[in-house]
Amino acid sequence: MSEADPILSVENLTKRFDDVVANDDIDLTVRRGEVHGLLGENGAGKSTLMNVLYGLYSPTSGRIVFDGEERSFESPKDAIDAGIGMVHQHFMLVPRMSVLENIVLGERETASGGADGGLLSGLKAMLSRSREGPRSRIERLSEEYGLAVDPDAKVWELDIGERQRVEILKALYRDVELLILDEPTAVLTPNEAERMFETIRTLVEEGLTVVFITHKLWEIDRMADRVTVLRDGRRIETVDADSVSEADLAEKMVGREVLFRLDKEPVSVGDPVLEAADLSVSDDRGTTALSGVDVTVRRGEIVGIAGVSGNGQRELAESLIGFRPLEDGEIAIDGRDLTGAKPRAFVDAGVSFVPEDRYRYGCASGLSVMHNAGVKTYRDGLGGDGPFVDYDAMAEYADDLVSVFDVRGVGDVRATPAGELSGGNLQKLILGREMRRSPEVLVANQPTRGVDVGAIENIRELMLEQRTAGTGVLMISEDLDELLDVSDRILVMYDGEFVHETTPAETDRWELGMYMSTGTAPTTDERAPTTEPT
Amino acid sequence: MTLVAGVLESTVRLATPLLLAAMGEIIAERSGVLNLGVEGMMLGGALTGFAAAVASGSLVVGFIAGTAIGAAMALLHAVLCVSFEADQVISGIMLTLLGVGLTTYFSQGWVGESIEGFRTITVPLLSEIPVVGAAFFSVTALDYLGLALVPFVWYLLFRTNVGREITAVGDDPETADTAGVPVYRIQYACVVLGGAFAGAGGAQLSLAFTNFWAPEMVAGRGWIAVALVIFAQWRIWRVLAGTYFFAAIDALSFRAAAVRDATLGVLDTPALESTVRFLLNPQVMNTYPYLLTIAVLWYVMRRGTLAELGAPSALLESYSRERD
Repeated sequence: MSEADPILSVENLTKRFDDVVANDDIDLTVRRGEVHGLLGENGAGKSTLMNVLYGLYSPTSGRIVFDGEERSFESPKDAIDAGIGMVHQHFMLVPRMSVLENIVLGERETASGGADGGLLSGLKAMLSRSREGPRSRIERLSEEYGLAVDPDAKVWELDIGERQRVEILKALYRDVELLILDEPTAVLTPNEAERMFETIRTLVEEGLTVVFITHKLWEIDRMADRVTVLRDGRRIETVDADSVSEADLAEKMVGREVLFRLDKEPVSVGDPVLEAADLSVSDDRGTTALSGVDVTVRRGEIVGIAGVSGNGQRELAESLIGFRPLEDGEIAIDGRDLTGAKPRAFVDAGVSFVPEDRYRYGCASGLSVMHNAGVKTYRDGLGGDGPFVDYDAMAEYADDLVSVFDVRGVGDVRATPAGELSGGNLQKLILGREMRRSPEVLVANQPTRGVDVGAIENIRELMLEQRTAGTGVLMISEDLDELLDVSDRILVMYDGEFVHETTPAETDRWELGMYMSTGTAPTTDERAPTTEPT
Repeated sequence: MTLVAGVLESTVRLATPLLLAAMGEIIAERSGVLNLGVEGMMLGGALTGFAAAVASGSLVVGFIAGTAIGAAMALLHAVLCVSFEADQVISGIMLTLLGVGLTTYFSQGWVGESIEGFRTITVPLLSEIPVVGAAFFSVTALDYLGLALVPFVWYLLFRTNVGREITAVGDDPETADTAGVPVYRIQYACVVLGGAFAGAGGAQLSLAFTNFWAPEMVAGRGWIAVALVIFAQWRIWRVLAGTYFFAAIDALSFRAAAVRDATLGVLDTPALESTVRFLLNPQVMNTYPYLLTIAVLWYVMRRGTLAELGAPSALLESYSRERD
């Protein structure tokens, strides 16, 4: 078995959805035992290609050769049977079922082993079940690969890292040889991501081949043996990961040169523009989400709120725009008390908001780009002074917004629904809408999550522009690089409270990660390998 | 005492169609397909069962025919909703309207006929238990069948491989598909099986309860069965309890006159007499199951959203692989 022994080769694969070509004549070879990175921006066709290999989509044309045989997969079951497993970006687990039930789902285990193909034995496999055999197999696998899970826990009780381990066990349980991981670290904290990398190494040591999809360049550098870059549905190149720099990869992926350093000019910080004291609010289920937090943002300052999502960030953002009722505390914008005021009062006071869920809260996805662009400004003379809306003026405003903020994929602002834009372009539209009104305060929740590298760069620059213009920016993020690059000050949120305040100069990824995941200061022994002896 | 025993006996018999229909609806909904055609499928089962029994002279043939027509009507719903991704609510209501229309039209020759339906089978000894004995151990074969199916359906849904697959399909068809579960086959099987249960429930009405056919004789029981599924939070044992609760109210209205006389005799309060007379008027009492349905839904829904109550997460959603 030579090192170049291919386990999978894809030849001239094309996948079309109606008029859209998602994969255009792609060739891909994966060698047995390697970690193969698949790099590309959102919409480049990475997930589509992998879904074709996993039997979820049927290819329009092209050949798939796996393990030396030409294959055509009718369903994921065929792919699993052939030895291909996949861990999707959005976990494929049924929350109300247990870990064990999720892992064996579809396998129809019986006490006497699997069905032998006969009708009667097939019926028996349907109408019975086995728990003990699968349980010991799962325990063996989780020990072998270091994937600790409780087989009887319900999936809804598990955290993200545990769910991912269940997903990997699900594939291992089916004896796959090739495992596809679709953006495995997208939802993980930095420490969980480290653990994920160790898992990938273990998998490869045990003889598996791993394909992992990502748009993060440093992950390729860390993990991949070889990397294939996709752009606009086409394969650009497959190269050895060692022989290429991050800048080269970025250029191949985006199709133009990408700047990694943001030009962050010094801005003199002004008076406090957002002052919130002792905020207490509940989440949607009525449990305490914020227990008395204080936050102040000054003009020309970007305050980064770090934290693993679900620690009260969403509730913080919503209370700062008047959307979530306060149980206690006070909010003042530019010195004016707005405690208990309605969202409209916050809008009028110059508070702009970029929500976390841009399709649900950031836009009316069925309405046109024009309607969405004008939704916060139509009262301010845009439609004339009377009760009627001047759609021509509104369309002009929207056109201007689209060109200034480089929103792509808009045919006609009056006709294109906002929900049809890609994540990055919709985000630019939302940011444009919120910034064009020259706000006093900008509250941005996860402004670049799930957005392409190229668009991320734009969005971060836009936030820095606001800072220069004297806006007070509150940016909630889970992305450590973003927090360190963009913020002037960083507050770490944990379980509804701020547990740490620092500045980018005083901290690093590792320390922030520890505060985010444990809520307390890291102890020195945890960092033993890098600390100096006392 | 005879009144209580009589009401109890009717309760058990009236519970059977509700129980069968509601269990069938649980099976279908657990796979993610709501079928609001229960009323129509029960009507189809009642008429077909009656006609086939008269034509063949065999009650068993009639019952099988009634069950089969329920399954066939449900198959139409499955084709529309699973394969063609039609709106489940619209398709289900269409099925009910179709059932009402077709049975009314085709049944004209059967109105006024009656048959000797399924006979009461009395279990020795057990039937002699005071009050409840006769109610539970002196009923027809179909009533025994309905009760016997309860543990069977529970086992199927909660203790078998295929039962877990049904739950997975109803909660998250995409996940089920990626795990190698045949999503469409499961949904078809569940909808058709659910229809067979509804058809069987309808056939019990005409073959073991009334022993005649009358247009629209199901009288809203199909809708009550749908409401019972929500009340039972998609669980089999709870649907059994709910069914008996509703059937008892139904049984009381069947014996409205006796209930009224007994109540007036006990109360003996001239001041309240007109109120009691109104409340126990047979026509007014006929509305009780429906008023109760509204009250029960009100009570249940105040406690949480459908999802919090345990509704399958992907109920009403049709699944298709290549549409994101």
